[in-house]
Amino acid sequence: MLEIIKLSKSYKQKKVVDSVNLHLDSGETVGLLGPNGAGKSTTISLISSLVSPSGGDVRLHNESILKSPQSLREILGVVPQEIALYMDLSARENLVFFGKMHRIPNSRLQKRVDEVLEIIGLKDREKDIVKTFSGGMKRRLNIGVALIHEPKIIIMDEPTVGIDPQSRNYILETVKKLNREQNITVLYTSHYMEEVEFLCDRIYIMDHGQIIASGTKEELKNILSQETAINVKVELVKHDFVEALKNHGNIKNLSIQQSVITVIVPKQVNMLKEIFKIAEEHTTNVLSVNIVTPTLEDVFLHLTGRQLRD
Amino acid sequence: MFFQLIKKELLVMWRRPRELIVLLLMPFILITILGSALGAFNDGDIKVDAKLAVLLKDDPKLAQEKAIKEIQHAALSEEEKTQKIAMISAFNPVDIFLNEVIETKELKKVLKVTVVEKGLSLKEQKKYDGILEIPASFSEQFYQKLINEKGTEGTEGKWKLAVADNTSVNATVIQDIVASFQKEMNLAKTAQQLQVDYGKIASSQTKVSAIENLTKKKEIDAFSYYAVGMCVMFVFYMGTTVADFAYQQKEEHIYERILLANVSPFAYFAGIFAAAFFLSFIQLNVLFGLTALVYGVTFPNIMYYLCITIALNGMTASFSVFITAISYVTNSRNVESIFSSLIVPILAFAGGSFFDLSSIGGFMERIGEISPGGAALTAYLKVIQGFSLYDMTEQFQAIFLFTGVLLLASMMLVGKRGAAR
Repeated sequence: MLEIIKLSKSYKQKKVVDSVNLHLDSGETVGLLGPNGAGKSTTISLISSLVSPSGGDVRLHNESILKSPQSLREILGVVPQEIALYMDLSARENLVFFGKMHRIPNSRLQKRVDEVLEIIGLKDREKDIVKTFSGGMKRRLNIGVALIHEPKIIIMDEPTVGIDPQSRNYILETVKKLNREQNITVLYTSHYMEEVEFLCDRIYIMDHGQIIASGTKEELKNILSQETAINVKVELVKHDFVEALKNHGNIKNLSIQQSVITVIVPKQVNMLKEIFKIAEEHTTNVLSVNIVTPTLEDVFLHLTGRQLRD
Repeated sequence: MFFQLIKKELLVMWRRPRELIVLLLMPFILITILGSALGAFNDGDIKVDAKLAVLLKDDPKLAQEKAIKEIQHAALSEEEKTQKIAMISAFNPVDIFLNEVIETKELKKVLKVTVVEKGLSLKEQKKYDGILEIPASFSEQFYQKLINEKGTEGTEGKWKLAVADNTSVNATVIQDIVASFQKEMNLAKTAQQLQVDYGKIASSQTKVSAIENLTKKKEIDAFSYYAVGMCVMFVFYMGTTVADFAYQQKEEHIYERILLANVSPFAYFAGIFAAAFFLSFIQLNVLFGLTALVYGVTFPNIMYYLCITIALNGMTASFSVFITAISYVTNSRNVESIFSSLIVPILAFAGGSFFDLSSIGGFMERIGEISPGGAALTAYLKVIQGFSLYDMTEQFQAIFLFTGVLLLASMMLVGKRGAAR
């Protein structure tokens, strides 16, 4: 349906998007995963034709849309990371305004606005001014505006940033429902691994402007089929202990979250004995050790050497 | 789509009381303060204070004596001689002009005349609003025409009037007086043919017509002046406010959303133009409506008022589009701040919104008349004074020129991609 071929963008000789290949098939939900600054938002701007690429192509039904993006824009809804709404207008006024921008006929518009208000759960607040809304409600309306013209593809750029868990769940359920019930194709970017795991059929992992891995959740986890993740909880994270672990030949990656040190090691090697030995040498108290099945987070750590929210 | 952009802009404005206060209440307060505070100074002044130098090369007394002698030696009956001598003795055009017309109480209030016999240096010429040259042998030729009864079309030496600035009220007054007087000269000759006492007719008619001409250009009181001055100044603030809203739309990625709805950048900017045009139209009409109700500042010709208002709205809208285009290209909110805190006050000052630049005269007065705000201000004042639309041609040209230049520059800035990123 939508194909992105070797898409690149440079700003002042710095490549922010580097030869990205990506495709979306009709009706699927695809995740674009990467830490802040990975180039996800720029990739979205390139796909949605807001920024012209330095190289590569964006093809809709096998036709390039770079020179005339109108055909893509007609079937595309974009949910930007920012709340792109008129804060002094009500929810309904915002939806009507953007509906008019999309040239939806009056006879259809009011009904469509009601439908969208139902989808995003703001029917009872339709007349309230947006600036009085909570963060979660604004995010929902932000999605609603992207849905007003009944798009076939929707691109969501971190639509759950900075909201409470309840609103986040509502949004995730809404996206799932849109995909399942209305067969809308979704490209969902996030740096929340669990969101992508919950929603997406396929995942692209992006770092430093490049796609570094792609596939289904299982395919990605298989990257770590030969490795094991060990979580070591210590009383106090000591620098020399961490350095000693890093310098150990069998430890492929290491990350620290509060007092838990996660190391990726080959499956066939028994590292537990080694870890306790290093801890003793550096007078570090180990509180617990867990061997865990690799998650996508571990895959990301394995591929990039850092965590998603670094 | 334009209707939606205008409606949205109206709703946003309505829900932001701070902007409403600045754009509607503030000018009204300033009109009240400036009108009452400076009214005492301005209203006491005589608005017209024309200075005329009369370069008198003619000797009317000698010409009169020469004409009388000629009649005495002419082959005429005694009755005819007496009649003609009486006529010539009673009618001395130069003397009537210098000692009767311009010495009337009404004209002395507005016109100061200095009679000189030698040419003036350039420096001296600058002291006067007009220089009237009465050529040598004017009176002699004039009397010849009267004696020989060769009709009313005079071929005698003509009075030459040079004015420093055609557009100033002072120059207009001088031109009116001289033109009226010359008209009376022709009337006098006709009367002479009909053997009417033309001396009396000439002097009384000249006075009346000169005064009529003066009163036609109504004086501007302080409230009228500052009503126009503040409205013209604050209409530019409407321009910057709309531009500020527009930039906010870019900052908050709403502009990108609108582009994604397949709205072309040019259509979007045309929407900003339409919104600024409509809002400034409402603003001006509310402000002028209020000043009419509270201070009785009215425009005698509503069509002229509407013509200027629409032209000014067009210029304001272009101004708004221009600021938006620069801020979109530079990606900076500072652009709007610079315009609202620096450029608009400069334009208001140069346009004469704070005080009447004609009191300074010269270059500043000229700048005032053709600067964007000054042109509109001058045109509005001319409507109040009772001038015709034709008299405002220069002001309309200036307004249309600025509108065109601003729109062209905006189009070049927006370009094909609409300054999206």
